[in-house]
Amino acid sequence: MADHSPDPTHLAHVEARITRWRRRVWAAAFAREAGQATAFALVAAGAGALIARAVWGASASQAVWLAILVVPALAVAFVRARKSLPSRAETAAAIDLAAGGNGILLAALERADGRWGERAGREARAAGDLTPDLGGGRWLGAAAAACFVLLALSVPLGAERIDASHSERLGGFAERLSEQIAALAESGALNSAESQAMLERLESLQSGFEDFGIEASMEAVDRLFEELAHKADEQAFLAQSVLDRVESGARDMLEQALADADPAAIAEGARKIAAALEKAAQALGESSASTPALAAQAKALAEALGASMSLAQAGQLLDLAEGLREQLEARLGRLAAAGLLDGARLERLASAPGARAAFERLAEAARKHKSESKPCAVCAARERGERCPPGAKCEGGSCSHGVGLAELGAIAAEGAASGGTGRGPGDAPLTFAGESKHRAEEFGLEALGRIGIDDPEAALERWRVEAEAEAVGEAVGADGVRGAAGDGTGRRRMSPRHRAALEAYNQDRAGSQDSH
Amino acid sequence: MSSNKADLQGSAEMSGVLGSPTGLLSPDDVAAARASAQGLLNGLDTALFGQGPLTRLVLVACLARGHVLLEGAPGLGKTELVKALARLLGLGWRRVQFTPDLLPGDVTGGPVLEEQPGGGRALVFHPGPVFTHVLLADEINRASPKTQAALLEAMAERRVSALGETRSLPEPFYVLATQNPIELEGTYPLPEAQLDRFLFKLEVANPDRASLERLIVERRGGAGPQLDAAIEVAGLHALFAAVGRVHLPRPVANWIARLVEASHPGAATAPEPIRRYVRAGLSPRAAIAIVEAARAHALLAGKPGVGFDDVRALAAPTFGHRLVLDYRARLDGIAARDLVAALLAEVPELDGARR
Repeated sequence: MADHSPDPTHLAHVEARITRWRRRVWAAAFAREAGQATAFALVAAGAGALIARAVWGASASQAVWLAILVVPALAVAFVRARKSLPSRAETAAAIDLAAGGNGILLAALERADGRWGERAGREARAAGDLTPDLGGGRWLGAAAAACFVLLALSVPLGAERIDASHSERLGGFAERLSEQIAALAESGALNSAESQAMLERLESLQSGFEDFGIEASMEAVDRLFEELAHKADEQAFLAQSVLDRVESGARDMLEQALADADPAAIAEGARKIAAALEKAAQALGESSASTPALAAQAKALAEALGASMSLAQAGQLLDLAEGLREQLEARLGRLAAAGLLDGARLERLASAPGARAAFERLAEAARKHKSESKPCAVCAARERGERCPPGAKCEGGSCSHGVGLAELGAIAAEGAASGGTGRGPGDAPLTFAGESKHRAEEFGLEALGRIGIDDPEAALERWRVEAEAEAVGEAVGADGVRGAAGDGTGRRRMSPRHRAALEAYNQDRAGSQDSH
Repeated sequence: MSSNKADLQGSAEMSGVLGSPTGLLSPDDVAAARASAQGLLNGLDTALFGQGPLTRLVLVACLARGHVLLEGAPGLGKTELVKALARLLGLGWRRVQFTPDLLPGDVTGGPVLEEQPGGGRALVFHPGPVFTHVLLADEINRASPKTQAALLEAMAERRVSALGETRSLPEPFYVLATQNPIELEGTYPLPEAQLDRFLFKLEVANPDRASLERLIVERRGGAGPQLDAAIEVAGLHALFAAVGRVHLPRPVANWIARLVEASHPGAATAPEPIRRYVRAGLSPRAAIAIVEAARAHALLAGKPGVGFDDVRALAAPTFGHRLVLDYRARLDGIAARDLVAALLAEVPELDGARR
């Protein structure tokens, strides 16, 4: 007779198999529930997207958020799967049934009888592994629902539907873009190839408005506009940097003239201006024939200035810089008129008032000097375009060669405004540096009325606190505390010089009274 | 794991309340019981050729202490089967040929006025043929309903009451009744309540050609084999005790309950054929009957517990005669076994069929 002594290991194996089956059953239940819940959620999301787009005009990117319904649906699936988790007894019955349903496994487990463990183990092994239904059909349904959602998001509806008014507005946008491309091309920000490519893109965009839908079309229009505005910004930045360098060069020239009149430093400033002009000419060269000439002229002047330090030449150089600034302003003004730059960008192009005044004064002095002074033989020959007389030297003093530096210093000493609100030394008019012209004009004097706090009828009177009156002499004589009689206020309000004079006067007076 | 075992053992305690308070039969006990039962089965198969399923079910009914209604044409060996069973069990047996004029007293016995040895007369109870271990009630449907009822009361109560005295029938007591499905003229079909008393209703089929050939060769003149008792009375009671200790797992009990519930046409879980063709479903007695039969069937298969397969194998003979069919079933040619098959097919073994 076979040995049927109890062996708990067999039942333990059966228990392990039951656990494995339960996990599989739970996973399968979750897969099925998730498939079904996802399908429902996606159908709801698709329907919601259609309604939101058609009725409330939501965009596809807004409506796609409805797909978040899948998250609570999966949570519901999880809970439902937990609820459908079979008990161990049910699982054991399922295994027994899969093994043929002879009941041995069930009896052994229910009675925990190890004598039948081996037989129960055989039955459990005979049952094999569970191949649960993962709900493939439901997942197919979910896939179909996902397609429905994509369709609901992609079909032109609501915000994407292009009607006549939208088409007209899009046409207006396209026309505006075309003008902006033209303005950029004129300003040199776009070369001919670039402007042609931009125009081609615009044309393809115009032809695809109906296909793209309003949202995609607006995005494309915005994208193109951003590119054009970026080009305009680059142009403005270039102009700004050029003008900064010109201004920096001019300021260097002035500072050196004021300081030690170092010819080399002045020449360096001139070269800066020339280099800036040359860079601007390179950048703007294609669109304007005058700019390269301007740059060449500036370069020649800078070289001449470096060689002879002529005040007149410095003035001419600054005139050229001012001309360049005006050209740049005009070009960027066209870009601003085309809507590619804002006004603040243009205002930043204007040179600081102080520097501008310095330029103006320098140029005026140069012109004046040129008109009033008699050139020396060397200068005269040069102005006539002739060769200098042999052995001749520049006379200096009244000539723009050599002595120009001294005049530069004198001009700077006249005190051009150095920025900020104030007039500075001399009789220069009040300026509001750093403000735009428009803002500066808003400033003005205004006579303020008397503050009505002392008016008995004023509403503020009820809040007035009147300090107790205190005799000045008593306060001083009583405790000897200095300042207790209010002289601290006088000290704060008076300048040290006046305060010292007043104290001396008071001391003298007190001494005389004591003597009396 | 402990809670899981508690889950399983909790249902075990419940099943213990139902009739198996002790532990499982040991494999050795099951093997011994199976060997005894197999000896009986072999003897029955020797007596009746080619009726293996029938003899097995008769033995199952015998181990479950249930009565059997055999339905079949004359000459198929029903009487021989009963005689063989009685001989193999070592029990006495009697035969009653039911006729329309048979009275209840002819079956149960009754008081007879007798002269007393000391003088005088007294009513003395004369036991009828029912006072035996194995009673063959031949063509039971030919007797009047009153006589049928007298027998069926004895079957249910296993005792006979006469003149205010109750006499118990010998233990064990089996009734194997036969009825002829062909000659129905002048018969009294058993009412449903009385059919319910039979554990099984079995159809005795014609033997196949090989069995018939073997029969005419080996049974000259139709004489039955000489059979000796295959088991002692004590052994028989030990078999009964073993059957009582066969475990009924809770999921199997749950399935039986759902099967019985679904057999009612008004039940929510009733299959469509049941709704259409059944007028009255199964009674709780049917559930009890199939459980007891399944225990015996499981033991005969060498198992310590009832399985789904036992229930499936016994559903048709246990449930078939207990379903009260509608007239539409007859019109459509639907038999009870078809409806039981529909029941088994539509009611899953696992509650909710979670996979």
